[in-house]
Amino acid sequence: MNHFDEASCLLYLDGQMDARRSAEFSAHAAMCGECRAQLDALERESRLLGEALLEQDEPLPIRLREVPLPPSASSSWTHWVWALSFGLAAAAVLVFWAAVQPLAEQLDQLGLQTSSLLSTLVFSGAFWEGWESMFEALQYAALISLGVLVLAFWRPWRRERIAVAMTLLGLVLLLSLPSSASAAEIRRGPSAGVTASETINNDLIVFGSMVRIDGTVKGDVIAFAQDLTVNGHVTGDVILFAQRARIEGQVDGNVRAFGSAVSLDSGAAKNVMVFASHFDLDPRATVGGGIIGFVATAALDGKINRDLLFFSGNTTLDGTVGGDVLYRGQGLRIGSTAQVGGRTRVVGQRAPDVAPGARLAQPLEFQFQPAPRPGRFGRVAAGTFVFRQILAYVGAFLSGLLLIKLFPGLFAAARKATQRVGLAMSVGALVLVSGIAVVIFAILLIIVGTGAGIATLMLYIPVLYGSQVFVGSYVGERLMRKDQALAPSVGALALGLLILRLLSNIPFLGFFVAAAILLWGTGAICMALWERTRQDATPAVPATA
Amino acid sequence: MWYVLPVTPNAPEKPILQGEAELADAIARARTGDAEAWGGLYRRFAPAIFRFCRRALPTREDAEDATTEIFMKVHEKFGQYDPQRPFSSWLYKVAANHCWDTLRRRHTRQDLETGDSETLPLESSDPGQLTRLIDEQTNNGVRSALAQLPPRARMVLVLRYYSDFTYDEIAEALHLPREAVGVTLLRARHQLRRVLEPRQPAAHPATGDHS
Repeated sequence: MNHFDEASCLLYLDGQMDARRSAEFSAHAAMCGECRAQLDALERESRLLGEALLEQDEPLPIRLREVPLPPSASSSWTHWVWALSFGLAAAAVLVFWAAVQPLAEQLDQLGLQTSSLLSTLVFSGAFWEGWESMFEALQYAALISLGVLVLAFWRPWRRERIAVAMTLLGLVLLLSLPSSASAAEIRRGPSAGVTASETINNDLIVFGSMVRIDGTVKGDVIAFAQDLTVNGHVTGDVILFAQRARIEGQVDGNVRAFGSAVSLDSGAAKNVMVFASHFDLDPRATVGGGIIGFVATAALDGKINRDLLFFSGNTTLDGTVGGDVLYRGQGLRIGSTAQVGGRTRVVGQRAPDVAPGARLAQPLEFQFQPAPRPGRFGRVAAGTFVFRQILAYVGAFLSGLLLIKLFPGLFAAARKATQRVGLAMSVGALVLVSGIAVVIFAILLIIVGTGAGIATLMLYIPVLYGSQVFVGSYVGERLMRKDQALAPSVGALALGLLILRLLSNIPFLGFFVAAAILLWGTGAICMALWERTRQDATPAVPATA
Repeated sequence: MWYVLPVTPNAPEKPILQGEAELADAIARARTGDAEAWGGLYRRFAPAIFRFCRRALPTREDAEDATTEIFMKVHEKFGQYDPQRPFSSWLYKVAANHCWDTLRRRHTRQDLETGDSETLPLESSDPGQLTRLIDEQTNNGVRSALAQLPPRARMVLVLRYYSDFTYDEIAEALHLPREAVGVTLLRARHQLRRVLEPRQPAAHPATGDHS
């Protein structure tokens, strides 16, 4: 009889032969050493394969130690919500660009040089409709980043989207980088500063109650002080946060001042931007570029080579303006020694007083603007209002989905913490009281336009939306009776957020609702984070086969 | 879309669901939506399913993703499970289908069978030589050799020797005719042997990159 081939041997070993053939095979193998050897080798190979494959060589990765659960209700409609959210987000971005682009150009004409495009956007927000819009601009930026993040982590386009997200993120980082980033020298102390004989070849950041800069700083100066005096020479920009600030020395760059009383005695080679309750531009002072100011009262006696853009309640202009004047507010007096090289436009409730000797290159243009009516609905057109509400809603919803997706464990923990209303609220209050300074400082950094802007934006997202997400999810689940469900429900989140949005727009009462949401949600997040740090310390689940 | 329930902190380290009655009970409860029972099942079987995927799929990341996806499918299709049959073989069946689909989506049909054109006759091997080859192998070496095989060969070996599938189950999972399973298995073993064999300079033109 012929030998059986290897395939037959395998079938025999695996018990895949019919009884008759199997019996034939057994009979043959009993006599044939060659076939027995073949069988033996195959069997040993099977054993080797079994051992090698079954060996418990790798424990379950940490990422897989959480138990996955599908949504309780299969949700085909969530695709539509997704499409809608993305559509709205895209529309928001489009509107944002359409509205901001012209403003950015306008700013350029005013001679405002900003260190990065991102800060230009934020600045544009500031001039768009004042301070409130700046927060809105932040919201847009947060929304854009959110969109990018969602894109980055959404499952179906895993491979492609990473490339897209990295490109976008890189672009944002590139835009937000200041033109020259270098490590700065930091000084602090009650009377920190730079003595007259000293020269600092670096950027200087100084904290103190009485700060004097008498020497030379070859770089930027960022100062936080109660009382600041700059007598020396600063080759870069001066950015100051001070109660009283006086600049008598020479500044080769820009001056950006935030303070209660700011006076500029020698001027600056570039532009000046000032947020102050009182601002003085000394007759000796010369500003190489333009001035942008948000100031309660001001006396402008010096020389401004380019434009003056002023939001003010009471201003006297006795000096010279080389370019245009655009003044919004009331109480402008143009003195007899004043000169304006370009157009003079005033928007406000009252026409300015113009002294007879004042020399205006073009006739004064005055546009009457009635005092703003109180109340949200009166001030904001209904369309814009609705648009903003949708924007806020979509932002919160996107963050919710992102949280579910990226930090499912955290989401579940926060969901649980939200149910302990009282505790969550008091934790929230505690955290907010201690954390609010950080947030304000972060916003200031964005104004200054340093690279930290993008990082603070990332901080801003959880504060803005996180609290809404958890409270919204809780409210929605209570209403839909899904609070006992195991997995968070997207539908409940959508519903809850909608209700929160409606509630927080009730006149007067809405403010308290919003505050309560903020406290409640922030508290829940903090409690969840705390819980998570404790959980991470627990030992891993043992691997079992 | 999927959501995740956190593992309860301070999870006991005792073996999970080892007893048969305990397991059957957990399965029954998990089918009715009991999250705790489901968590128990997951913790009991996820490590094995992960290793299955790790052997069947090319990268670790793929294996991690697949593990989660397989359990999602199991949860979805719990209704189709027949309690009379062993749970683990049903679980492996879902896993096998998922991994095979993943591989098929990624490769063209031709890719799946690179190197083992089905018309090629199987040359008989010398049992003595094979025994020597087997004696030299470590488990690790076999696993890394397995990773170099084309998808179908790898898959069939994993199904047979890791999941302990019958020929019928393999045929169903890989969409093969029942009669072809034996040959596919043997061919896969031959391919594995070729990878494991110490390199012989002139024998394989394809690997003749070293002078």
